[in-house]
Amino acid sequence: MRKRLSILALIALTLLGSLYAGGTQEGASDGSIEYVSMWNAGEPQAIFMETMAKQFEEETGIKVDITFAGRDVLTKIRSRLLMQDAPDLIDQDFSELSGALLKDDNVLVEPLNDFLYKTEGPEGQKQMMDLFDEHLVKLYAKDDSIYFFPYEFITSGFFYDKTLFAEHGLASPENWKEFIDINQQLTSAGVPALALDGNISFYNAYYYYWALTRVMGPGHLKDAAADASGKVWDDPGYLSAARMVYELSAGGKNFFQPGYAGSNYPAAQADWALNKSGSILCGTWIPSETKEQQVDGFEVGFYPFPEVSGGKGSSADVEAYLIGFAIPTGAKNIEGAKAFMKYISRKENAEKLAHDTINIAARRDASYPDLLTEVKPVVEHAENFHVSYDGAMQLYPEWFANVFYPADNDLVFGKITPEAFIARMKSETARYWESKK
Amino acid sequence: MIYLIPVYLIFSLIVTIRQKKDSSLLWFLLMPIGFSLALFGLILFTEYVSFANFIENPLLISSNLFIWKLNYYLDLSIFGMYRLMDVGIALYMLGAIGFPLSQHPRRGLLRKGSFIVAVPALLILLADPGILQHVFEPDSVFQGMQEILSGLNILNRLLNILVKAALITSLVLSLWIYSKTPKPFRKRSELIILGLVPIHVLVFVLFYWFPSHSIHIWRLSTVKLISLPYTRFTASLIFVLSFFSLGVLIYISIVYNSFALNDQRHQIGFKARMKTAGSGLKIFTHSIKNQFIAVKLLAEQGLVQEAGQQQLQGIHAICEKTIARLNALPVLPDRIALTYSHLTTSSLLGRIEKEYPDIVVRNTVPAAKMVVDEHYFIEVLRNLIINSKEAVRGVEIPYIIMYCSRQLDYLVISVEDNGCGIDRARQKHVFEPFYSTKPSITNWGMGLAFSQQLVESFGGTMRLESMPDIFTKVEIYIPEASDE
Repeated sequence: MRKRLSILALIALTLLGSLYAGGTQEGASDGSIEYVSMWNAGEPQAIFMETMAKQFEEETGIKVDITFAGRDVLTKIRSRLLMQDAPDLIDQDFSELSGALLKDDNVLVEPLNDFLYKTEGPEGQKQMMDLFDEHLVKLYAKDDSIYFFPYEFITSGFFYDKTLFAEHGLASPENWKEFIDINQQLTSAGVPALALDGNISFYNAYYYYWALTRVMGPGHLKDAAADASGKVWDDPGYLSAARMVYELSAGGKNFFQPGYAGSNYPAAQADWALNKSGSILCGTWIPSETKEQQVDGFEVGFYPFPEVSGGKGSSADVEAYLIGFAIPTGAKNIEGAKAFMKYISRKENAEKLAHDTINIAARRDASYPDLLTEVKPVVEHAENFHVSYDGAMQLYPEWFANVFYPADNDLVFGKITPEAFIARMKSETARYWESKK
Repeated sequence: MIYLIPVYLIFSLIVTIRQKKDSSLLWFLLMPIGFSLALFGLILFTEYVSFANFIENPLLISSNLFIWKLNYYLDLSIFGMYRLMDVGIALYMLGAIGFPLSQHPRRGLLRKGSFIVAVPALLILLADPGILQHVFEPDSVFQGMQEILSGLNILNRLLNILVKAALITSLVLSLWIYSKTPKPFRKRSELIILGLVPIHVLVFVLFYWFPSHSIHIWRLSTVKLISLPYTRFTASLIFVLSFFSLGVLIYISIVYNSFALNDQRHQIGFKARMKTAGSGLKIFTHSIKNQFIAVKLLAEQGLVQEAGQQQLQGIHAICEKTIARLNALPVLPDRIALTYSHLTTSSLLGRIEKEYPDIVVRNTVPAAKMVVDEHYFIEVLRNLIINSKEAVRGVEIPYIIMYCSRQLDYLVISVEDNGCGIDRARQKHVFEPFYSTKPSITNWGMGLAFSQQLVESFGGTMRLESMPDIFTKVEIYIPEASDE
């Protein structure tokens, strides 16, 4: 009997032990704000935030308690938001924030219109909004309400080593024809023209979304996702974009590095930094992410997704992917959180962010880091900003994950023809919406 | 899906309370507890990943908010969720192997089997994401990430194979033990296998990918890249399986329980009948004896009067003889004190051979030992031989063979004859008390019933096989004793 009890006690202890995950949550008091961050401890942005918190406390006396929760911050705090135990400040990219906190009618964050339009800027600007491109910030508004406050700007396009291109006598392409030509030349020289980690669907998805944006202009992938009949896919522009992607794939001219379909992150981008491939279509984080691996003499170059002859989109259509703060509903120290956001957006702090993290600050007058200087003219000449993946990922995440990704992966890997891709998207989209009725 | 967890736990509790004397139960309990734990971890994990990726959790159509609110109090990180799955699967594996092994009478086998399965269970626990995170220090090894992911991939595959191998081994083991189990004990094995299969299939489908959907330990430590492997089809399949396995489990528990209750009822009924019969027999024999005594006295009076002397002497003699036989009838004891000892089959059968030189005795396992009460066990064997001798009366070339062999961990002593046999209808009743195929004043139909009770008290059972006018074979299964 005693033996049996011991075993049962052991099992019970094991179960209790397995439940332990560590961590306690404490509410914020008036003299402090609780900030749960998307960054991981040790990351440049995390170090930057720690510095800001320290300086902010010295200046205002408000302590900023930071928890570095990593990229899953919104998932990690979901239970707290549902149980009315929200932190004062959180951050993430705006697509994620929208998807998690502005779902349907369930808004879980405080509106910031008053803060943006009725609060003076840190250097005496009339309003906080003067620090940013208003159109850009409003990309993520819901029913005319703005809920997020940006501090970092990201866009995507092709990155390449200028030294490598120079060695092969190549210049960055401006249109699809030139793009195909330089890729052809690199391939002939034995250098895989494009780098891609095929196991990451959202990297694969860049190609079709960008091709479509150039062929038809922004907004059409989102429209196709929303069309319950699937008939939108009959528009020839969708097929043209699919043909462009297929041309690059193993089914077409095969410009990607060998075995790209099975390449596991970060193999391809690491090889790209080692000059084993030509260009990589990625976000503006890639130069800093591969900085340690780049070969000597690697000079980061950037060119936007090439324009297409007769296309309705142009290189003036620039992707805007913003990272910033949100104040959850139920936050205990909203004013403190707003004061911290304002502090971070000071010019010297925005410059520090760009410099220390090798990223672009959201504040439009902040300078660019050296590695991203080639991105600056593209952003400055932008006439129209659109959200990443044309908003389809943000607005229809389930469709994007379950309908678009599988078909798009097959197209990028050259496993299906452009016609088969369109047929599949048409039927699968209709079926998806049918299942939602 | 989540309803399975409380149901399994309640089921475990009920089984524990009802079957508390069964030591193999602890092994069995590891399965529902492990499964509940792993399933809970999986539900939390899939919900977490689904929300992070803005997709619908195929395993949890409703109750999503309940899960999130519950986790507010549990405060489980994704590592904690994964840890639940690790611990649950490890416990399930231990139970899945340990339980069939515990049904095997050879204790050493259980120890060895548990040790073998403890290794993969331990490996799964060691693959804890927290430990892996600590080992790989992902914040500082971005350059070596490719190698780390490859290494993790190999580890995941290895563990995945181990889990599947353990589940398959459990089933194979159950089937093997079933095939080796002597016929009289097979019903129990059948139930165990029937109960195990649907749960195994459910675990197999639910955790088919385990732990390949583990967290990528990488610099950004995000679950954004983790996709759930469950499709609508697998989710539907899981729902059907979970209902089915639950139904089977409830059915098995009812049948298993009724088996136990029937056994108990049978034993209680037998004891009651034995007691009543003992009292009745005493009264009955006493009454008969008194009547014979009265007849005898009357006969004696007649003898004094010297009329009809010869006939009266005859009556007197019959009375004397009958009274003597009635006096000699055994008194059924209310309780028997058994004295156990280790005995070899050669010593036991040797005694029978000497006592009954006319029967053939074959012993293939002379050194094998059993723990029985020597006196009563010999009585059982005598009873079988007497039955056989009566059965072969009138057969032209009669034979009675007694042989001893080994089946798995049982010693089987059979007594076979080519006598009149017993037809199928009567075979069902031969072990019932007061049932005799040849009732007489000395044959009360207690022999086989009493023998079976004795054999069961030695941890064995008896089985009868017969074809009228061809043969009758009675087998005694007794657990073989180890040398320890």
